[in-house]
Amino acid sequence: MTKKPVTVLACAAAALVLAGPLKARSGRPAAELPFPLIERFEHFGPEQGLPAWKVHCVLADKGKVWVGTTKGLAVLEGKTFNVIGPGQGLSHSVVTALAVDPATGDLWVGTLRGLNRISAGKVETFTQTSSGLPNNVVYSVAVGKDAVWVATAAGVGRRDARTGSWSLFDSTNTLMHEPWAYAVTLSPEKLYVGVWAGGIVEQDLARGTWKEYRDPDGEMELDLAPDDGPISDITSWATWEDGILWQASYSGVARYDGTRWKSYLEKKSPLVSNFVNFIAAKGRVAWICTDRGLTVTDGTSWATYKGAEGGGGTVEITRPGTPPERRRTATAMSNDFVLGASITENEVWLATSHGLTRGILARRIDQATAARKTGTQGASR
Amino acid sequence: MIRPVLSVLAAAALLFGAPAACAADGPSLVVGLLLPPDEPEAVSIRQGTLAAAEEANEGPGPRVKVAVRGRMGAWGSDASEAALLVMDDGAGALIAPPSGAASHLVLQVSGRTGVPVASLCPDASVTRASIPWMVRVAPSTLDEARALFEGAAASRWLVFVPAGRAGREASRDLSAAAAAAAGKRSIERSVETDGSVTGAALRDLVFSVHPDAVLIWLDPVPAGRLARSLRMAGFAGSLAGPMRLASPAFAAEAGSSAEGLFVPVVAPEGDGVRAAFESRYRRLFGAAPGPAAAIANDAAKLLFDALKRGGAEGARRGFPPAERIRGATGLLAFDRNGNRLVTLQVRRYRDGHLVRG
Repeated sequence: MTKKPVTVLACAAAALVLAGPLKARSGRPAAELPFPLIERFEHFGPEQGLPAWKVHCVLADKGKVWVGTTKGLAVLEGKTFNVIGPGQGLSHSVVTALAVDPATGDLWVGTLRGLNRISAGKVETFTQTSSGLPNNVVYSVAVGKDAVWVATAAGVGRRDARTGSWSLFDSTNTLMHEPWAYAVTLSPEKLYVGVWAGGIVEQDLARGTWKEYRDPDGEMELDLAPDDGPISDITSWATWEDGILWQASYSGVARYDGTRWKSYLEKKSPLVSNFVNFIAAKGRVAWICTDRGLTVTDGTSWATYKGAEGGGGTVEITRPGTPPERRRTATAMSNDFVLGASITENEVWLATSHGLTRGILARRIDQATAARKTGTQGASR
Repeated sequence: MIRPVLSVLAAAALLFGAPAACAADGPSLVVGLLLPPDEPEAVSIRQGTLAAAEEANEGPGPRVKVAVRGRMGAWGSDASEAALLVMDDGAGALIAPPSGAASHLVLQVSGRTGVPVASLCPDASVTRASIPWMVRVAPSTLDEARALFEGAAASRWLVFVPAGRAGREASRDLSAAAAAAAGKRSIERSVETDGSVTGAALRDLVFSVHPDAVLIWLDPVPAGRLARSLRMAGFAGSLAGPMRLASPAFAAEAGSSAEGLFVPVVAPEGDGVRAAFESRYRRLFGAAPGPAAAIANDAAKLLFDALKRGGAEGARRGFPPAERIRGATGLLAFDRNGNRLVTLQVRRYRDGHLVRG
């Protein structure tokens, strides 16, 4: 491992600069948001010890931040990045997916050439020639209580935690319309597979039965029958949390509560872009990573972060029944092309195409609420 | 046993081993080309791309080169090779091959990495992926089939498609094209084949469907074989096929059975670009380019242009280009979903040559 000290570039100054309307246009006090706003952003790049600018994925766990880049896996402990690459046994330098086993603390690392397990500092590698991994191109990893599930370019692999044996699931033995698995996520009872060009398939883990969810209209930009199922058959990511399945696609986002589907598109909701690469969920709130910024929502209230011309950024906040508010922020994400996110109680870590970003979360009281208490007001957009 | 192995190795060397157009010094902008070994037009596509690299290196700006990969050996995978084009070869943009399955593998890599893609695949499903920095340079199956359905005066069609996923996607697109075509066109039956159906089985099929026309949606060699079998089985109606049958490989395989067969072609622009490409291609490779080479040349030209303008990161943001570029197959313009906007004309084989219908 190589070590480099971290120097945080970003301004330490308080950053949510102001200026948004701190009261709804109607004159009524604005409702409190169901999620915290990001107060300021800090940046990490090669100067701080990251091995590359391009960051594909990030995972904050128990005081460590694991960062998957195009030139290896970096781990931030305290103020130092340690780097694990092919020289340390990683199967490839391009890290695409991260998942931690809550029972053992082992870290599972997907790359563009194989899967790795990091356990007690040792790297163990699984490839399609050395194990039952369906394909070396790993797009997503999820850890269940008795198995690790891996989405690959040629199906889903399941590695039994007890025996180490592998099972393969693809279009020949499940309801998958195509063999390409692009995402996996787990609820306590079910496995959800995001299938490229096949929507989502679900496996009942106890019974082993499969169910398929497809976009009924099969259209790209037009959602001819809104809220009728997945937003698209191209599933780019899937995340289950607190009873909600979020589907990401390159045509928008869908939310499934087990009974009803709800679709969100750029032109019909505050979603900043239809191109969605990743969704991190905490509680019932989704942190949606797009090519043009970060959108946070519970399906009713929204906040979108983007960079602004001339430096800094903006956050646009939309509450039910009120016009959007736009505020300038003194700091912004490293890049608006956001590829991954990991949320903790106090911060959000963002993987972007040009650096790692740490977002410091405001207390669970947003600026509008603070303004209401102090009686200040800003101008509307 | 040794001879087939040597043949495979020779073919692999032709496709992947020969050095691509490389810069003499300094870092180059790289376009990655995924070419599965079973791609029938692999040589034409590779050569069309290399011709574009040579042309790009004659102009100002950074040098360019082409990286070519395809699965190798029993354990090879096109998915891995598509990923490695970007990650190990440094490709800042990718060309996806005509195969729908391989094209989707390239798109999956593009979705995660953000590299622009020019696809040679005619399947409608390719642009349905909705990747903003992807275009389809080849005319779609929908466009080709609609031109044929409207150009050939036939209402009852029997269709032959490849087996498996390729046939499934083609059948879906052909049905949509028949429904959208002006006039009453119906696909009476769609049959999956490798082109080897012959004799009594073929006669029975034609007799039971009783089509006015047969659409042979296969690669050139199996399509030529099937055209011969259909004529030998006594079918006297119209034959038609996709643009890739406008090739010497099809004409040679079909022989006199190609006579009268309809194919769509891109309407010529008469701006000299096509002639310049043909001249360069003949000088480099000693043969006339087919449609696959011309389309690959245009795909590479688009990507080299985007990389030269904006580098790898800028290429994504500026792709597809707002302005229209003149290519060997005409003006390169796209709709907002990345589909090529193209005018097709229907031609017929007469004495081994394509003439206006």
